[in-house]
Amino acid sequence: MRIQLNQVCKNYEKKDIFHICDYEFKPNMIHGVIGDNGSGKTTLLRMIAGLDKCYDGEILYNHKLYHEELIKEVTYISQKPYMIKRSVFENIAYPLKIRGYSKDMIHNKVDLYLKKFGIEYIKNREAEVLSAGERQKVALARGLIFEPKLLLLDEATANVDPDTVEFLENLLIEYQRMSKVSIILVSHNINQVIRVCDNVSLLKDGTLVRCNQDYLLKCMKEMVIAIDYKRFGV
Amino acid sequence: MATIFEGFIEAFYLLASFDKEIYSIIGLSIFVSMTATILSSVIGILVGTLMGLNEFPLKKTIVKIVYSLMALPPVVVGLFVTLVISRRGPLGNYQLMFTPLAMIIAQTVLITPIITGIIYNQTKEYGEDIREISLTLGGNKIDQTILVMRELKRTIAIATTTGFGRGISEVGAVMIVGGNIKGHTRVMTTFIAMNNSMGNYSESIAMGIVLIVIAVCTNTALHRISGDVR
Repeated sequence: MRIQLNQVCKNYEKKDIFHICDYEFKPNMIHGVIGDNGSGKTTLLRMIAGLDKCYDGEILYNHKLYHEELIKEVTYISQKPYMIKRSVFENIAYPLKIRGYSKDMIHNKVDLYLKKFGIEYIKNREAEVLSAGERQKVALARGLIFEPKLLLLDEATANVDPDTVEFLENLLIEYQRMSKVSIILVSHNINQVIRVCDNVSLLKDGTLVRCNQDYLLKCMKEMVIAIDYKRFGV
Repeated sequence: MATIFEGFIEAFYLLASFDKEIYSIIGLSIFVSMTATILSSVIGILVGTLMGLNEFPLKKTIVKIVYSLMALPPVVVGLFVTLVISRRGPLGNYQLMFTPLAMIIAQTVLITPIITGIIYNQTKEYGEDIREISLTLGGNKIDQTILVMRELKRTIAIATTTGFGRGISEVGAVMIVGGNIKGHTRVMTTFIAMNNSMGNYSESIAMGIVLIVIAVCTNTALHRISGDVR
């Protein structure tokens, strides 16, 4: 799904958070969005997801404005996804149930995704009591099971152990290659963005700009230097 | 101490003798409070959920009013309902005064703000997260509302139990609008109040025991239904 931002301006308490003149997220790619805390990454993602509609300008989805049908094609996964107070199976089956799938189809598809995400062992466990990593896997399985055309991930691998992060990253890349879904991934982790994304955008000083490889390498170098400074107490 | 002990023994015999009057009073009490709770739940759950999920003009003022009404004194409710349904009131033609229906109306007025307030408070806290998760997974407005209500079923159970408890234990409003007429509008609380003033402690204790048993049973049943007991 192609996403175009035209003169998108977001204010909060009469203060401009960002003003994006013209920007395009091309279809069938994994896009990364990086930026400082408070730069408006989450706000931008929520606007694209249709969860925040208080802004000026327009966001186009395949050249069309937001419409009711889009609800069925877009999904948004946050850093701390809400788990429905039922079993893992029921959580993953929810999007299929509201789409009127038959019981057999739901069972087959949920079992397939449980296997794909390696979470068969928690199939009947209450989703409320899962660990952060398990929650994130369930949230991703739940978000992908209905095969959306646009997947919006807001720090979806934060608070997750490195092994799970690697597993989820590989799964995401593989899934994107297979299904051609468009993904916008917001992250603080530049390494992750470089590993996973086809292109990267930076949200800074209220505007969105495309980052080239050199810029990202420079950012990474600065990060390494900052870590070194910290290590030596400077 | 002996009086209390004797009171308990007499109360036990009274209940065991299956006295028709006693059991008709218990039946009427449950019927009135249960009906009022059902009516209040329908109104309260709907209004509370809508208030919690939507922004609208004068919302803050309405919320303040609902919270204030949660602490309504039953006697004031009784007085207000009397003014409305008495012969000279706007609903005077229907001759509702001193009928079980008048008691149901009074208890509904008393309970509705309590259920609305509790539901609103929880919906405001968690409703938006639940609604969002349904929306981002493709749920339409109906799916969203259903999910919010399902997720808040424990809160709904608590609100309903609280409302029922408030209804069945209040005496002021039902005394005013019902009149404590024997065999017609006499309920457990008005029966206790009357017998207490007459010095018949055994009857009062018997009804008190029944009231407590009903409260415990209702609580247990509702929490079991809501899945709070594991």
